[in-house]
Amino acid sequence: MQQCQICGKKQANVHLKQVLDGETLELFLCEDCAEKGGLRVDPGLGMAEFVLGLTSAKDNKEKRRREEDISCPSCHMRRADFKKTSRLGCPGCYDAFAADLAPMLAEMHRGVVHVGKSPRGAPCREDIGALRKALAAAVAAQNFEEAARLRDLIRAATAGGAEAGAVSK
Amino acid sequence: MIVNDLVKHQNPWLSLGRETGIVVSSRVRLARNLKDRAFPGWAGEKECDRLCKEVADACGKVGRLSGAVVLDMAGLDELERELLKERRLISSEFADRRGGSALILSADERIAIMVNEEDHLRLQAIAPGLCLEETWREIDAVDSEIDRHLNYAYSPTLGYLTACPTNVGTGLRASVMVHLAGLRLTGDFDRVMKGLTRLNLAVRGLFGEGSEAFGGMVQVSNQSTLGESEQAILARLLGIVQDLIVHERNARARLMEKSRIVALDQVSRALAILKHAMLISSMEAVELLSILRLGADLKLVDGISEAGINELLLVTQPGHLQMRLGRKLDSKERDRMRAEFVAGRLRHVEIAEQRG
Repeated sequence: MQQCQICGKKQANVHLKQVLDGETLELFLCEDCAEKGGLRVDPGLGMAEFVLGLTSAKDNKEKRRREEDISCPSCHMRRADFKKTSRLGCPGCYDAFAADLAPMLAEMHRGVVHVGKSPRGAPCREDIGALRKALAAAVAAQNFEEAARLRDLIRAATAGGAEAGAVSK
Repeated sequence: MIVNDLVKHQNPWLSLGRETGIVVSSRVRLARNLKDRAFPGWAGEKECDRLCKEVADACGKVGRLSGAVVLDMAGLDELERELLKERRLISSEFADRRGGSALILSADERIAIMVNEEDHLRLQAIAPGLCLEETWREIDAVDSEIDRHLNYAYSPTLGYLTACPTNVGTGLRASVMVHLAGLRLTGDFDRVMKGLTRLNLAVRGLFGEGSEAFGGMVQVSNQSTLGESEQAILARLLGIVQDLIVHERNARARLMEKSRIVALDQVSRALAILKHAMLISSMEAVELLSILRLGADLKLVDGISEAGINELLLVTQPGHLQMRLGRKLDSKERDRMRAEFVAGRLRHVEIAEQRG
């Protein structure tokens, strides 16, 4: 019988497993220690906080701070400026804040990939093959936000079917 | 052409076009930005000035814009701004802009380009009646010509890049102004409005963002700009507007069949107030003229056309009223002048049909 990994005394009947940044964390706890750690025993609730609380709250805070500090290399708009005004600083911001924009665009619009007019001499839309390659690279680099964005792009481009393929020059 | 002269002109979107009984006007606007340049809200004043000149130069080379005027926003007074707003040539946001922004206006007022509003360029074509396809073709052609002289910000996956992510992609916002006075009288107006918002369409009043649907005057426009071609966006909006027209036509027919006396009563009351009141606010003017407009469509009124009423709807707005008199008026004075002006215009207008 597995013992609680925190008190080392009681029987562990809470099994906690979470994949975080590609690392699998596993903990066996007794109910008392689980509750002390703030874990509600309702399935699926509070797990993330619990694990983060036990492991590296500091690292996590730092990571979050780094994210807040992202700024656009072209116009120096900070992520916080964008969050405040909901307006971007320059065309380059679409790359700088791509991770924030992806879910917003999906919510606002009927699709996530442009279909329609393009300016004179505009580059052709990256073909789906190139998107797939980029997706594989993002997954390998564990850049899951980017991977999710690319996955959505591929999904939209393939679901759009004939229309999506036909229009761009 | 200076702004003052506009008052003397009939506004093109108020003359008569197709489906004018119900559709007042159609408008298509495109949001465009220049590559590698900060958007107007983030750019410095000098940068905005420089960009303004570049865009004006580029527009000077566009055939369709020969004879257009370039109005520097810094040089316009409050009344002139108000007038342009009421003519739907600039947005409320743009009316508050000072230096570093300009309006480029074609001689016939159908094409208006705001430089440095939220985006570097906001190009619009506006015309009377239901003509989305036509206005789209018109602004598309101007856009393509400008594109030859400027480098637009564009991404193959996200389309035309705009300051607000709500406009990215095609950058296209198409809107149709409909007059749903019949649905208001039959009490179905709110239900129809709710249906429209469920269809993910933006619904606004006569004077754009934030304005209310006075007199059943409603602007319906697309919200999504990404993931669908311009043609698809226009076709969907057109389909919905055509449904609205059918609903409104049915409401008007029902009124005439089942409650003719109620319709006649409403129109008679509106006309009586418009002809005899001493003070009329601009809001009341829109409400009453809207009912009169319905009366004209239902042939209940003699002596004025719908186009004539459309014009009254515009020239009774505060900016137009004051510009016509050549000075600023306080709101009491305006209400007085408005009442006088309307009474004069409607002197020979009568109810076409005797009660009974």
